Amino acid sequence: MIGPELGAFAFVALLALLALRIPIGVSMITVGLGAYLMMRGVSPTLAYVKNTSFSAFADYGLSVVPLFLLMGQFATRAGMSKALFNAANVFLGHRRGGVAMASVGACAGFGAICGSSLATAATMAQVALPEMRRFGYSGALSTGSLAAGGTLGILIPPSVVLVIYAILTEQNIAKMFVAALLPGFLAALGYVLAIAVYVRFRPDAGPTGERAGATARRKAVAETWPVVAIFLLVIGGIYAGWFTPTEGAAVGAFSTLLLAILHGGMRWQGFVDSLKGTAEASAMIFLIILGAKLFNGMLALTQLPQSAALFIGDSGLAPMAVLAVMLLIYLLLGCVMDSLSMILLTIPIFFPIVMALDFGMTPEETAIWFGILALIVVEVGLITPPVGMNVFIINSLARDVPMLDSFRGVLPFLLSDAVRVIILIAFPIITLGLVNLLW
Amino acid sequence: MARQPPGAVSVDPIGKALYRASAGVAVLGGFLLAAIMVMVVVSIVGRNLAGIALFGWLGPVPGDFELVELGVAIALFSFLPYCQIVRGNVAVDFFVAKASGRTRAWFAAAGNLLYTIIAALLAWQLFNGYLDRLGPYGETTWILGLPTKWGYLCAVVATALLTVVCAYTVVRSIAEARGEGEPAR
Repeated sequence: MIGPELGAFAFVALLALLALRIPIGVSMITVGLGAYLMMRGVSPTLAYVKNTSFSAFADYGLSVVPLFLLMGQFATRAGMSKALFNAANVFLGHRRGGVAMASVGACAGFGAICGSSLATAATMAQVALPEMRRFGYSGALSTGSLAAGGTLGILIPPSVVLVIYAILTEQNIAKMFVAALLPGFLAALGYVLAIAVYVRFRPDAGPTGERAGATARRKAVAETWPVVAIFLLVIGGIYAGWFTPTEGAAVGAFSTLLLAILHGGMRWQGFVDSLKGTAEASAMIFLIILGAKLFNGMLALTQLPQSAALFIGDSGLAPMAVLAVMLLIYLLLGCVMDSLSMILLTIPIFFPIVMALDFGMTPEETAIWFGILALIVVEVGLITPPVGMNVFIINSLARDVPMLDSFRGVLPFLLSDAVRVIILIAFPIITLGLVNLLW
Repeated sequence: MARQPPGAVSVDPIGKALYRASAGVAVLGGFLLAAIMVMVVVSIVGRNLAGIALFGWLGPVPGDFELVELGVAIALFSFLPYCQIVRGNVAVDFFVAKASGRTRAWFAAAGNLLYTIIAALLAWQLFNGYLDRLGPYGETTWILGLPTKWGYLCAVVATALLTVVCAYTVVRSIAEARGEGEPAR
């Protein structure tokens, strides 16, 4: 058995290992090497390990990932969550459901210096949960808005998953970041609207908070300047070509380090803890990256991706139907898997298929547009049952709220996500407009 | 995100020693990563100031790209044992979520056993890669002429520790499977 059949068989074997709760990276390496062994024999397989393992880690493009993770670790200790929450709250707090809206807004702001959803959700929850409790917000609304708001962390650049997508598909990282800006903003807006509609039906779930005067507003906004400055420096610098994405991540990590020391009061222990946190998150991601490299290298030998692209390209299926099926697969996988693993696992198959279809755009536009759509849909998995990591993390911080309530609280935001995905599919210009304008 | 205190990870002396070794190696790697971060910032500043008359003697750090590549690779390898001993590697929890802690520990033992074999394979092949780069004509980086064998040597040490840690986690999982079951995350 060689060729595409072996590739398909390898996929089935991989899913079986995953179902048995074998770590994702370990499963991918096992199946990747196993199938390679069947095709090529023992010594080529050993050489494959020798040549792939070091180079998978010594990759300038991928070095952006641990640096962004380090930046996120410093960001959680920078003490900016309170300032961000206040800045959003002075404008939204007096509305019905306003404190929840402010939480979403603050998550969006935090997402601008942190590329990880879990860290965004967990950090903002420490400030926003007590505030929402103080004003008598329902458990479902408070946990739901924070779990959903956390997904903005990865949607709004810098974003670790987006970086990996760009590297896998050889797209320009700066363009991907710029493309994510407007959809990210729309996401925050959509979540705020979802809260507004929700409290119309459940007025007691989100009472009004305090109204702030013009002076308080100016002051609160002014206090968030470091976040704005770092975001503009990193994203602007990468866009303007002052530095590569890796260098941008180093600049971002360095400036958030300064912020954590000067503003967040981080000391030696906090620094060492940041390094440990970075170590754990980086090792977790790079074991999966190594697995994906070995697995996808094997897959390319079986020719499965090419045959699949050829088959679907010739089948006469409507491109939109194929896209819909892919996004549906992401939704289903997202129920049980984390977003990064999904991207690493599916892109080698999905991307050639998407590029073989005609969506009436240039190849680069199609690649950027599909990347943003995929990013949004895989992130939805973070808040869907049964394994919504964001919901779990918020729920563990709000011990008195039953898990079922938290998942119920997420529903309005899922609706908002669905509407946004449809809008972004119908109007690619929202994603591509800014990219075409700036390049 | 600090997930668990060291006590919850390992209670026996071997586990504690391995935890300390892994955390120590990971923090060393973290310092290397932080040093690279600073080096990159210095390089950018130097590069941009070089155009200004007074700072004409400044410039980018020579070979900054290859320093990033080599340094980040070493740091990443050094992170692997720590992630394994604190149970940081993600798995699909869905299908065995309903199983008891003891059953889950058996699955964990199987996963850890596979990872042990992979870690040993990595250590062995990285060592072969190291041997390939020995001798006066061994591979060096482009600009600074750094021998890449150093990177391989660090990777060999890290993956050797990873193999020991993985083997320990197999024993730990089996003990959990026969006793109290896997601690809740």
